[in-house]
Amino acid sequence: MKIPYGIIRSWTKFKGSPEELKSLIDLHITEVEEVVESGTYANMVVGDILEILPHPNADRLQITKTKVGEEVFQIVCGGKNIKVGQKVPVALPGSTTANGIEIQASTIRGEDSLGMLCSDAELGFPQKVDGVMILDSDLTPGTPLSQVFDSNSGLAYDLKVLANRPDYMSFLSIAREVSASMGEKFSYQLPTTYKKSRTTDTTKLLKVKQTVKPDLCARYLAKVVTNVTVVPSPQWLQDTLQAAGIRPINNLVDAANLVMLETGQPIHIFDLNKINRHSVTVRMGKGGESIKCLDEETRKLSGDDIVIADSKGALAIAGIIGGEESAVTSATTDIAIELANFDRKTIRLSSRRLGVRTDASSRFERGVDVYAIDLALERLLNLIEDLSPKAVIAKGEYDLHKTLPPKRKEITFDLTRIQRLIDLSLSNTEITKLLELIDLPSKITKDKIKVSVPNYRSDIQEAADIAEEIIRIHGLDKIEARFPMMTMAPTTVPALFDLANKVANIMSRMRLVEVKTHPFIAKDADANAIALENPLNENWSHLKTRLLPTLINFEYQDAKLGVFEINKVFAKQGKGQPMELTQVAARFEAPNAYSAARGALTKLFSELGINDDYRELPSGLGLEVVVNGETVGEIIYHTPTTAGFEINLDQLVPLINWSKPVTELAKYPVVKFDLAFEINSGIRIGKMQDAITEVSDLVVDVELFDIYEMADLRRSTAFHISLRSPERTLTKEDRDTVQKAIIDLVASKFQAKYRG
Amino acid sequence: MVLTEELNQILASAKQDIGKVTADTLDDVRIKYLGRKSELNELLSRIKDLPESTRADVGKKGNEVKTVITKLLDEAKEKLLASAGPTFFDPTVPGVRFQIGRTHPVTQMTNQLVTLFRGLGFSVAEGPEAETEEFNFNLLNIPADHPARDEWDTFWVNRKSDPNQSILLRTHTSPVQLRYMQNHELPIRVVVPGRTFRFEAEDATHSSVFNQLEGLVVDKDITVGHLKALLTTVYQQILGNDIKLRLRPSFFPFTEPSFEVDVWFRGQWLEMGGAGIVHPQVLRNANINPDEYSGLAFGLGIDRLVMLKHNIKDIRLLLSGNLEFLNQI
Repeated sequence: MKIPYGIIRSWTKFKGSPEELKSLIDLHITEVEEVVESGTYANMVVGDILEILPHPNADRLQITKTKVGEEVFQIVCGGKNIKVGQKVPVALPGSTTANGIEIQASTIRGEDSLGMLCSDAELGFPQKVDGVMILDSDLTPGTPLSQVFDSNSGLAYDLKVLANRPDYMSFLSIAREVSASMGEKFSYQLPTTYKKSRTTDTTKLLKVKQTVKPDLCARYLAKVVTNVTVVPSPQWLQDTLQAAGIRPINNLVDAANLVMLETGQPIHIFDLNKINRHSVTVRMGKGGESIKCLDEETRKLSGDDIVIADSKGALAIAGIIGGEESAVTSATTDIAIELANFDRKTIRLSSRRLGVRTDASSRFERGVDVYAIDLALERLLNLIEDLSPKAVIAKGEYDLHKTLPPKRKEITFDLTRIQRLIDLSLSNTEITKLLELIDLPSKITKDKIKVSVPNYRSDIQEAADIAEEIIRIHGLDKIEARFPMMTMAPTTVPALFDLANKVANIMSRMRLVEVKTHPFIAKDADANAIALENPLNENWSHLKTRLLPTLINFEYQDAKLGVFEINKVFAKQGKGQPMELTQVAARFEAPNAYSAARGALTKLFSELGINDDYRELPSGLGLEVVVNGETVGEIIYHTPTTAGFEINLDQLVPLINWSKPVTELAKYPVVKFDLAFEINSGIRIGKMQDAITEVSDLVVDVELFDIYEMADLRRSTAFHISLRSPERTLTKEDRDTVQKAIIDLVASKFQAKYRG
Repeated sequence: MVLTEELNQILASAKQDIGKVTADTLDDVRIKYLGRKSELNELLSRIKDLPESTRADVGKKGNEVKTVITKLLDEAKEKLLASAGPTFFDPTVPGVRFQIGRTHPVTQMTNQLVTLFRGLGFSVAEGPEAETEEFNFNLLNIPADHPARDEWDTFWVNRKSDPNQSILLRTHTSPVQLRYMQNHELPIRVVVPGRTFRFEAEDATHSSVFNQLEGLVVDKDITVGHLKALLTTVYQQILGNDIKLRLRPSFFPFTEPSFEVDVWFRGQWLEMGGAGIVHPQVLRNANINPDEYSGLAFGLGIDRLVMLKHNIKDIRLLLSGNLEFLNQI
């Protein structure tokens, strides 16, 4: 919603600068999303000439490097009077000069030019200097020219319309709030006087019938005006509409649009003589019916759209867009004015289905006050009389409506509740005064406040709503920051959150880098994945069931690295919400990546105090990780230099030993020796190592330290063996006994040949 | 036998050369006698072609010669070093390049926030990422077909008419507020960090996947002043003590009053997220009496804080897996 600066200046006592107004709206009313400019100086700024170069292909032109705010643009210039360091007016692409040149980014004789340095005439001033206008040297590059020439005629604020404040789609509401924020009562009144014909009668010239349910069209008011003259609007009206972002069409349509901006009430005007038999019906659309709209698009209607129709067919899609057939043209002499109130859900759905959003539909779908019609009608007739002085305003009108809600409701709130929420020391008088400023007159008796709430403030229902109005208008900056006083209590953290953190910590200490990725994958990546109904693109159509594939697919240049991710994955699970699991996945890049992956996982489990076990994968290229008999993940060989693992953390939560005990330090020395074996292809070294460890209680560690493949595919392996007794120093005999036991065992069980 | 003869000659020649070696020629001499292409190396490689009877002897002789020459060269170097003056330790030699692992910037920021809030007495809660429409919208006072729904572009997993059966990717962490309030005793102080989703095309400033931290305090007489104090403290701890905080009026269906939170940081006001006093209807939906209790709620954008703190211009870097980027934070 765009409201021109000029409207606020003329309707309220606000006399400050455009910046002050922006800040006032931001802090008391709603967000100013953008300050926009239309009219003479739109897209024109102060430029600082940093450099001037001759144009290589044209003697009469020069190339400038001109600073226009943060950026520096190359602009080709024909003016001879420019010098480096001068401040000049720059028309940026998108602007139109006073003499009608539309500025675009262009190439002039082979050189790019992003705008134009303007002369007096090009800005609409009498030409005093030959060449470019030179501005005051104190100006900052990038300053809008409208500020330099103190012209705010085209300046407007694009406001965020809060979903609970549909009335913000009217100048009147915004102006009232601006006044209130300054502590002033809003007293501006729209002109509403006009002369009514004594003879011409609406009901004699037009028939109106409504067949839609009253809920879908709470009110339908129609009035006839004859003898109109359709001409272009005066400049002030065109300027105001343009500032608010609406294209001027002709005096009648422009008047209707202006009144919509002022009051929030959308208005439609039909050419009375284009209505078959001067008779309209408000009815639901019919399948197979279509209408050529004002934007020249033909739209197919359905039984869910409301239409205004004559006996020949639809004349307008109610609340959304009019038809071309019955539009006001320069030939129009008599008109039927429609001011209606359509159901917001119906308009919202129709507008979406038909793919058309208009100034009217965006108001209706938020909800328009059913009483806005009364003021809008009078204001419109006043304007029509002004813009088409020979017009005859018919007496009488159609005003079809269901039982309307009361114009104002009295609601009583608990005052102490409000005071406790706002936490400001405001007196009762101050509170009623603040509410009065925003059309919420109230009366306080003891600890109750009775507020008279107008129909257009249907958002006001609870004490909290009144509290908001008070602090907002009074000023949020006046609220003092102070901590709540609360009872002490221990804090709690979900166990899975703690575990994920601990795992991230261990992984990063193993020099892995944590990455995070999207949860989306393509369908063919995993047949069991859950599909999204509206994916962003086909490669992101499903939810991941595992994390590792994405990590494996990252193209990394380093020959040695490790990355990991901890995130949720999703699996199908009957009806309702999908199953969510938290996984950790790691990808290793190394000369022997599988060994790195396996080693890291072993370390991770030992740090967590969990005993792990393994089963070979059917593919033979990895292991299933088993904890307490349950599979919790996999280690996967990808290529000789790429491998990874993924583990479900949820299953580990109950198994974590958060207070791992240390083993007592040994009193007696370790005896170490190395053993090397040759084994046949197919023998599992992992199993061999486990078997060696089991040979005797004295074996405290078995570490594989060498492994290589021989030409006949047999492998040579070597282990460091550590022996220790908790009770005594081991002798050479102990050592020899264990050594022999190991050699015998691996010979019989693994056909391993002892090498030394 | 010829080979043994040649070995002796090499040794003799080496002794002579080593006798007159200088610091300049030491390396050349070493290469001449012990290098890969040296005469000695070439001779040794031929040993394997000898008849088996002599192979061992010649091999042994060859290794002896090699050992002697190595020893002589080492001695010569020692001698040269001794005469060169005191040894020099160069402290400016660049060090070995170390690699460290690290957690993701979002994890780091989440942990910083969680530590900070636990210090203020907040617990931590989590909730499902694939949420029901009931919890993500309806119970938060955002009914279907309400214009407020337009603020949350939604990924639908399984859209159904029954909001309890209708599944979406949560658009905010706010549904956890309700889940937590329904299951915990009052008073409540909780933060909810988590991944959230919006159906929107990605560019430098928009990501379809991002992270929020939701805060909720429910007790008797919780007010806007409390909200201000908490948020000011949090942003000071994260962005520095010289930040300023302001609230602007706004609208969220689940808070009343509702605010946009702006922080003055590095010379400008930045929008940081929404906040407000929990809407009475939301409290009722969690079986809390709004006449007795009130609550404050706020949302922080974790990604946004990471980007501000580290001056990151493109949000897409966070989910890129790019190590050149990640290794800087």
